[in-house]
Amino acid sequence: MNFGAPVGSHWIADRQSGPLLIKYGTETQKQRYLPAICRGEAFFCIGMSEPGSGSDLASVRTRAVPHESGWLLNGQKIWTTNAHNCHFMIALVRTSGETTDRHKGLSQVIVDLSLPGVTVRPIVDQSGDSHFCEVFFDNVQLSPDALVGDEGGGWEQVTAELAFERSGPERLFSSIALFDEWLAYVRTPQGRTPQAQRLAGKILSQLAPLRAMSVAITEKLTRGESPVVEAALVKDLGTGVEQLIPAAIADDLFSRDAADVPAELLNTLNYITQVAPSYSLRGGTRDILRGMIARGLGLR
Amino acid sequence: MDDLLTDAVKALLTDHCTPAVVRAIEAGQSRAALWQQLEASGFADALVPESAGGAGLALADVYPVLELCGSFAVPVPLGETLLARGLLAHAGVSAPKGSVVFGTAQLASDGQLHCAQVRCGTQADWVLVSWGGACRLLSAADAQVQVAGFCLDAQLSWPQAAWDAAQAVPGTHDLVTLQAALYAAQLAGALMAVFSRTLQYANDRQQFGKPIGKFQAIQHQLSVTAEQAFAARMAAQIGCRSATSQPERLRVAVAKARTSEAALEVAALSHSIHGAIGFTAEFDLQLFTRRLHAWRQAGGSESYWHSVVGEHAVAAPGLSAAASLKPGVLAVSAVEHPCILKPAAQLARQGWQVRHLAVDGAGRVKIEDYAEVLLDKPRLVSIMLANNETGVVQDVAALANAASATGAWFHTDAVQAFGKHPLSFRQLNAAGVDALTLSAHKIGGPKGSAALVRDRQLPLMPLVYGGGQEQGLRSGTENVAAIVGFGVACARAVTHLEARIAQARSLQQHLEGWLKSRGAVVFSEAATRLPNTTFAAFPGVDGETLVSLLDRQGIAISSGAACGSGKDGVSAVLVAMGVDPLLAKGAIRISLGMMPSGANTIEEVDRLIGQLDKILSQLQRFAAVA
Repeated sequence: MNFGAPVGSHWIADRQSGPLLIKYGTETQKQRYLPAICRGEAFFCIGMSEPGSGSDLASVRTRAVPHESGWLLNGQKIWTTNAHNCHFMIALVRTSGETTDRHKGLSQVIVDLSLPGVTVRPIVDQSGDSHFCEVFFDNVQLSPDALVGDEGGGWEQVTAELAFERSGPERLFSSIALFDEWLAYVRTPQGRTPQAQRLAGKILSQLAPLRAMSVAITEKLTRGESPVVEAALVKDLGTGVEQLIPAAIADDLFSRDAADVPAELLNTLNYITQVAPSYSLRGGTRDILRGMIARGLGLR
Repeated sequence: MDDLLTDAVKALLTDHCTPAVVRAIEAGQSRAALWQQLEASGFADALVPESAGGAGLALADVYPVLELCGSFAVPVPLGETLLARGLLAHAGVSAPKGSVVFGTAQLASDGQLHCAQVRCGTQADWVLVSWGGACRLLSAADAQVQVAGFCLDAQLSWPQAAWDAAQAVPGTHDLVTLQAALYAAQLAGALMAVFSRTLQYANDRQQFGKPIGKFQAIQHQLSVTAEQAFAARMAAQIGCRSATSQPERLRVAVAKARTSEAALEVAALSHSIHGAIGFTAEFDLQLFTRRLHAWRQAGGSESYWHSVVGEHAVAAPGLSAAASLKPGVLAVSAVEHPCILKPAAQLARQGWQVRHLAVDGAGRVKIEDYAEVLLDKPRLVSIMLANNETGVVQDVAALANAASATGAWFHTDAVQAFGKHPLSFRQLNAAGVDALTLSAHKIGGPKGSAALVRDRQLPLMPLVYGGGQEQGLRSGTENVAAIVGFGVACARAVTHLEARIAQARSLQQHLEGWLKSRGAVVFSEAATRLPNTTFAAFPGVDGETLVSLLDRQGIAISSGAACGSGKDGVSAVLVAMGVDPLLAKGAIRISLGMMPSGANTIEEVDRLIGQLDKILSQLQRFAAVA
């Protein structure tokens, strides 16, 4: 970051798109995309949710129909993080059958977002950012080698991709910048109170075991396993801490004399508070994750 | 190795520690049969070195055993005994036969030693009691036992004579942390047991024509239960992560805090999912949930350990590199000893902006310059109480007061001042001084011991890591001999201070009176100075020359160059005071002894004067000849 590396646009490819291609991609696809990802020249976004398909991901309606020159893509994706800055999208689409077939007939395709027929529209959120986007596909012509993995293997593949998405240690640290800034304040003469010290201890006691679990999951992923349930478990716990941080820090700061609290810290708190609801929505909502965990752990 | 041990313990507990056995022992029946089985298995000697007949394992290796004590709700102190025997073996004490538990004692007004909240106190043969920093093994049979709290816990009381007669366990032992590590592991075990039983129940219990686990509300409660149980297990493992038989306090703090939080939530969720049947005595769930509460409370609940972790966090580097001690402004006086100037220079290389506070011609920090530097909001200000070359005493109370008004920490190097000037950390602290340093060798004590006196609020980070001595701030086995010597020297340094100051002052005046009559310049004469220090120069006479000529006469003084951080043989302090470099080359420092054990006398001062007079006359003769 000190050298201006595009971390914000790179991390999705690094975290999941690249690993997905390593797991399911052809040699040609790997050669084409992986070096470019590593050089920070290819940014990827995730095409999963649609207006009518949020938690019920298997109900996606975007279709890629086989065509003499490859695949013809029509449909729409939504909540696509950073699409307006990306070169490529890996999208979950229907390639055969009907919506009622649910998991059967779904595939993943790589979409070059510069192709004619692709329209990207950023959505402004309550914090004033516009990270999320709508992406429209109007008769987009994809080449034959746009398919990732097996035709009809989309559901298994997207499930594995979600394990990558949910597992990273960064999934604990969405609000850590606020915690760090607050902790620096707590270390000053005015900031240091017994209650603040206890709160710092509470947050750290929750983060430490989560980080250890996250590392353990990463080890499994590196070995080629699919720790789907474990990743969901750590993500759900992690978002709990991520959301606790702004809530508890707000309680701490606003129980003090207003004059004692630095304005910059309050600005950070305000921003993080407004972004915080998204932590337990993105990468699978809390409710979906909890259903997955329970079933994954042995509920009939 | 680890799996063999775990499987063996599990098999043994499955056969001999059934819910019926747990109930029987809780109801007051004998533990003998169960304890025999556990003793015979040898698991309680897991931490005892092999040379003493144990398995020689480390704490991390026995974690699974401790967790199993929780998963089977073991109603006897297997975990406690395992840890106690490890501790005793390493302290060189042979463990008694039977079960051992831990207790912290208080002396009551009735002359009895009371150990409150002894976990598994009703099932103990021996108690490892901690009292006033020492540990001894007391027999439970000799104690008055009063059940308190959880049905197996008790308050144990002994007459003080029992302590006096008891076997001492050498060394300092942190029984609180040891127990907390144990209960974190047992909590993890109990949490897993509760989770798997609740999962089973949700699959078995049918309502509305299907298992209740088909309902999303139940699924969610189960997944939260699982999340807490797995996070707790990871935390408990962290707590036992030690290569030795003793746990590390910060790791245990995380472990006990996290497992205690989980215990509360899981106990509630499991009863919620089980419904009424789970509330009965007959159903096994309560054997575990009662323990979740008991072990959450034992060895410190979550708030206690949150404070421990928090204290470390507030004093230690943050999670990300960016959060750790961001460089800011550091203000030090221009006349500090190298022990301050050199670290400041190093910090400057790491991005800190170091401001050197200017001094006036007499060596006092210039107030207007100081006020200006304070506007830059320095994070730390360090100004010495008395200068080692000139003897100048700064008005540290006033300077510290100004600094704390801007939020800066204030430190003062009081090494030179101690024993020669009235010194009260309490008074200085009230004025805003947060830290003060002293050294034994300046008060006639042995070299190798020094002290940092600090306000407890001052956050400190260790520079040296290791065995955790000095509250973790400075690891390394303490130099006890030097510290004891330091203590003795301190006691002497404060005796008859006023009288010794007055005596030194009169010698100083006598000496300086003569020096001035002989044409010397006495530096910082206008300033408040230590009573025993004279920093002066004879114009045109090289200081080093005087030093070596006096040395031949058995008189030891120092030159301006030798004292501090000067370059080109000139004192940096004099340079900072704006003294002419040529004059500064002649600087000599005469420190009169004023410690009770070696105060200089008027005769010795007169001898110095006599020798100096002779030397100066000789030098002037040579100068005339040249």
